[in-house]
Amino acid sequence: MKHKKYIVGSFILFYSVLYFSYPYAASSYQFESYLAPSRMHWLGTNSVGQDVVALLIEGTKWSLIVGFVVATASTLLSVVLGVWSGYFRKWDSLWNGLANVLLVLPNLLIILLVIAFTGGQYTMLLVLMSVLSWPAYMRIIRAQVMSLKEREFIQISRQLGNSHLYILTRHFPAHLKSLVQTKWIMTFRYAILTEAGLAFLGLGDPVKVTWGKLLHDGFSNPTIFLNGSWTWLVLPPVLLLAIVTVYISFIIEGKNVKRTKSSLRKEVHCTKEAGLRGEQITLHYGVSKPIFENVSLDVQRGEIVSITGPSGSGKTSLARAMYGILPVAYYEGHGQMDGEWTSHPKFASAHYFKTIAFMYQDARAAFNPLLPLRQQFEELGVTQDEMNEALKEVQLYETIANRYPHECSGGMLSRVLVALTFVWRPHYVICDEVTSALDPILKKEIIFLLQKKAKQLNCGVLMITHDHDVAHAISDRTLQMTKENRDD
Amino acid sequence: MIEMKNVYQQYGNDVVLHDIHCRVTKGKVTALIGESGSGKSTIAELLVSLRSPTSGKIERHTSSIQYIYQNPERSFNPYWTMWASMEEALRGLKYPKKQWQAEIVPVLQQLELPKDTWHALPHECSGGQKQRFAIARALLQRPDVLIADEMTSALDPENEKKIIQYLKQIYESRSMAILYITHRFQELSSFIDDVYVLKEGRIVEYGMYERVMSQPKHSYTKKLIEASTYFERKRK
Repeated sequence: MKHKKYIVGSFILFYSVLYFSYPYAASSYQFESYLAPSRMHWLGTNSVGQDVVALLIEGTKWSLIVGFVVATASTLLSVVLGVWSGYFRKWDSLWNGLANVLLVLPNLLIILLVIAFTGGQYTMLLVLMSVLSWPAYMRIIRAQVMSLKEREFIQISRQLGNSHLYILTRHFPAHLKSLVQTKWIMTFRYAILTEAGLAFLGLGDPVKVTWGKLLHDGFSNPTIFLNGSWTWLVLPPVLLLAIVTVYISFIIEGKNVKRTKSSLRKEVHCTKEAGLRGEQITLHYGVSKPIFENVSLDVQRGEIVSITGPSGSGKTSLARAMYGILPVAYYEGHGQMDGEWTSHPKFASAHYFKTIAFMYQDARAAFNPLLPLRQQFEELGVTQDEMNEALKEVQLYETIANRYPHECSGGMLSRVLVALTFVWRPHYVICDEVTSALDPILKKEIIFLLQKKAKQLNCGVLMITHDHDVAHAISDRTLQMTKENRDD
Repeated sequence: MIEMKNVYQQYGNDVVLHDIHCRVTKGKVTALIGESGSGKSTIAELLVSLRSPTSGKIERHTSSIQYIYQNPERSFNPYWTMWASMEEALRGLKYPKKQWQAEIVPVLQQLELPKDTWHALPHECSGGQKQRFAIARALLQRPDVLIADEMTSALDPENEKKIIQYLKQIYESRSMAILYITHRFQELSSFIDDVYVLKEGRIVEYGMYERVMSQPKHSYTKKLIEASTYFERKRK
């Protein structure tokens, strides 16, 4: 981001020095035609004896003003109308309808029509482009605002008695910032290019010098290619246009591409021991003070091991590190399964779902709401028979597979999740708080199921739970994490 | 404080609440227990007027109601520090800005939130910490009614006990009304006064907590109580 500021800054500095100190004015016709670049005239003169540098200075000013004014006005329109119709839902259909009409009509056609009737003054163009370019982003901002408005922290803010104005001015800006930035930059480019295109075709304001106008004037005389004057009449405005628009594209790109440093750690020697193991894991989350240090844990096939401890003690992170899905920048040490390094990229394709499974807390969130359950089994490459078998084992009828997740109760989904977890006959299963949101009856049932399946498949289970009773009732060993960065 | 009379709620063709009568009383902790999907959260949302009932009447004798959501992950603006979210709760009240610090600090200390999380962003705090911040924010408003949907289920038992004790102390001194939606009613037995047992959108049993626990009338209540103590008994 830093060098962008320097590039823009040095451009502005260079331009303003030229603007105030260049000796010739764009309006003077006192020189000979088609003078080649020289010390007097850095880029020569044109067909009517104007200094080209002076023209470029003037043209840059008016071209950039088009960009700034149109981008700002159009962005303002998008934001105000988007928020108005998305948040207050006032005249929503009016603004939406208007936006749709404008989106469907080709912009250029409208601009040409208006120019044909009015003559196409500079200010008219500015207004026209601002009015025509807001709809697309207004729709996007409207959608964003509508979803934001339903978010819980906004609802809570309302409950706390805050006004709409407060919510709009304090909560919304950070969430809309990137959209607004992109909108502004895109419109800036659109406005400069459209104006240049119109002026090049001779449809721009005839008295305002812009980059497009310079191109139009340059091309109007075919001799420029014979006497070589195109190099100073055509090339500079083309280059300026190209540089500005390409540079702006880079700004947009730069927003999306965040370079993450791949911190490759040195290979650790794997102890070829069996079991799902976490070896000497230190979790620091990139900050200096570690959450826990040098924790080692292993789960052998056929046993149930529980991790208990207060919230924030790093239970889930430890399990995720052992599973190899915690970013390696966050921890030291390594997880391994039967002598293989779990954070190795190859491990994921070979083992996830198949020999080691991770069961998440919320059964409802674990399923794709738009697909019937059958399809979610099939996605994992499970055959019809295997699926029916798995469902039968958790005491569900085969017909349930035709239902969508929202057609099942929480209890059914929890059981389907157990079926899905064990369908590949995994060697190890990690259960992350699978029962903490369940009612007591369902909790008992799911724990029984887990126990039964684990025994049946000789599967090692790592349970993360804060329910001491459950942990002690079913597990062979328990790791108790404490807040004091120790385990005992 | 709040009373529901004869309330029905329908989503499309599904009737999720049948003829609900319930009451949240000042100075009492009312618990709402029952299986997942039995309509507990819907009742909470009706009480804080996030929804309006299909039919029936809800009488509110106060406007100062705070609702603590089940999932703290979505309860905070991801761009704001926790401290800013706490301050937001005090904005509407008539405190001078200087006093905000003095209001917030004791609550956070009571909830044993470590100091380095106070100015952290939501994603830097753990789920349990976020839940405690959510509780702190609701308490800062000094509400008359607190509706807590699985407020402590993301917490470990030690923290849960501490928070419950703190809440108890607060609600006794302020004579608040609390509606507590929970699966973990056994752990909170010293805290709950009245209990409503919900099954498939119907209230199958209600009464004093001790009475319902010792002499449950409905078969579902019996099953629920049996299951909730199962692992505890097995451990012993």
